[in-house]
Amino acid sequence: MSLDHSLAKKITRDALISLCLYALPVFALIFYYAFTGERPWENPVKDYAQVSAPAFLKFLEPVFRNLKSWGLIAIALGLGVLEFVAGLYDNKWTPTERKIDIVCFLVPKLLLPSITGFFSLKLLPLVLPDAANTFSWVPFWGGFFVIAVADDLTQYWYHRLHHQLPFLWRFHRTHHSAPYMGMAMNSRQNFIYTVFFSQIYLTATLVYLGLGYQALFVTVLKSLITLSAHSSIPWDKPFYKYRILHPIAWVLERLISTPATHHAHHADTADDGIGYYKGNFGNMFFLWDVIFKTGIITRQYPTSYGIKFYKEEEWYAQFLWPIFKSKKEGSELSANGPEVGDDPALVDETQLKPELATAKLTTA
Amino acid sequence: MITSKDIQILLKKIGVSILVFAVPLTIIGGGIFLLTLFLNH
Repeated sequence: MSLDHSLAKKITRDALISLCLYALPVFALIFYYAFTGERPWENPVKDYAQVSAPAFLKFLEPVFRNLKSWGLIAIALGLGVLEFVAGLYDNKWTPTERKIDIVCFLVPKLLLPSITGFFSLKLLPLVLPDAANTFSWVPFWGGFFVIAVADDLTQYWYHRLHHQLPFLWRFHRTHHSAPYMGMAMNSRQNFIYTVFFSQIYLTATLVYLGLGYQALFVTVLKSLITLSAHSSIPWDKPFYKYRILHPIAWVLERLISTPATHHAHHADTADDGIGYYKGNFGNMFFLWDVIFKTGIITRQYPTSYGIKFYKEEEWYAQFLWPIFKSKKEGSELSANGPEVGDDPALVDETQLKPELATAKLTTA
Repeated sequence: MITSKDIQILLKKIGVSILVFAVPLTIIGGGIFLLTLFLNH
């Protein structure tokens, strides 16, 4: 199955623009040091305590450290309880959905630290033995923007490609299959999608290179934004309701992912002009969708979520496809299922009709 | 059961992940490294 030519062209063009975006914070550092004449890399700091962070961030540092270690999990669980009590799942939290949400929430928290730990503590020192803390001289805000752009733009691309390259869709499908929104959606992913998250390894490498202090602030901030964007508690509604808050809303919805823009990404249809599952790919920053014109902002919430082609596949198939397949007939996750089931234009005919594959092979 | 086609898709998926990881790392890591070389001269 080939990728649509105009889409391939747009992906290439946007990828080239992204190269410039990645380089922007680096260029800012070049201009800063060329202008000031300072040479901090000649005496790099070796201790986080010496990184010059603004006073308010020094003050908030213990809060962020606690959020990183246990606070985010506590907030997520608290939010989940609140959503549940408020009846926001209605009757949609079936036993299958419940299993998927709980397994996807717990298993990566138990298994992923050992994988990323191996990468950071064993693999990186082996591949880049003399590079640890090489960039520890980078000032706080320089490192903050380097990490923020590196981590989130990389996740934007990882996410976008899983929607736009048909062979990747089934690794991301679990995130979209639930017919509701909630904090559990933040971690609801196929395990292979989570393990090969490019941005966690990129950020881990930048931490190894000396940007760990800045990474703490970026990753916690990002987790708070993405968690609240997936939650069924629409914290952004007052910004649209009160006229006086409209200027703030205008900036917010273009800068970061809000429940309205991200819920639109999880809608099961784009026909109502509100849902937009073919765009709004941004995770922490919505800005990437604005730059690449892949987003829509309506300030409204979809009426239904999920995917049209959903067959409530077994939890193990949703969590570990392609290692485990669904037994549901015609499912995208079944042994002979279509690559992309809910978009007729993208369905691989050879998978729907095996005889076509045979015909293609014989004529090749 | 995992088939050879699944392994092919998995390898392609890992390839995309490595590409999406390596390109920004090269630009950022290489960029900051070149910055120090460039400004030292």
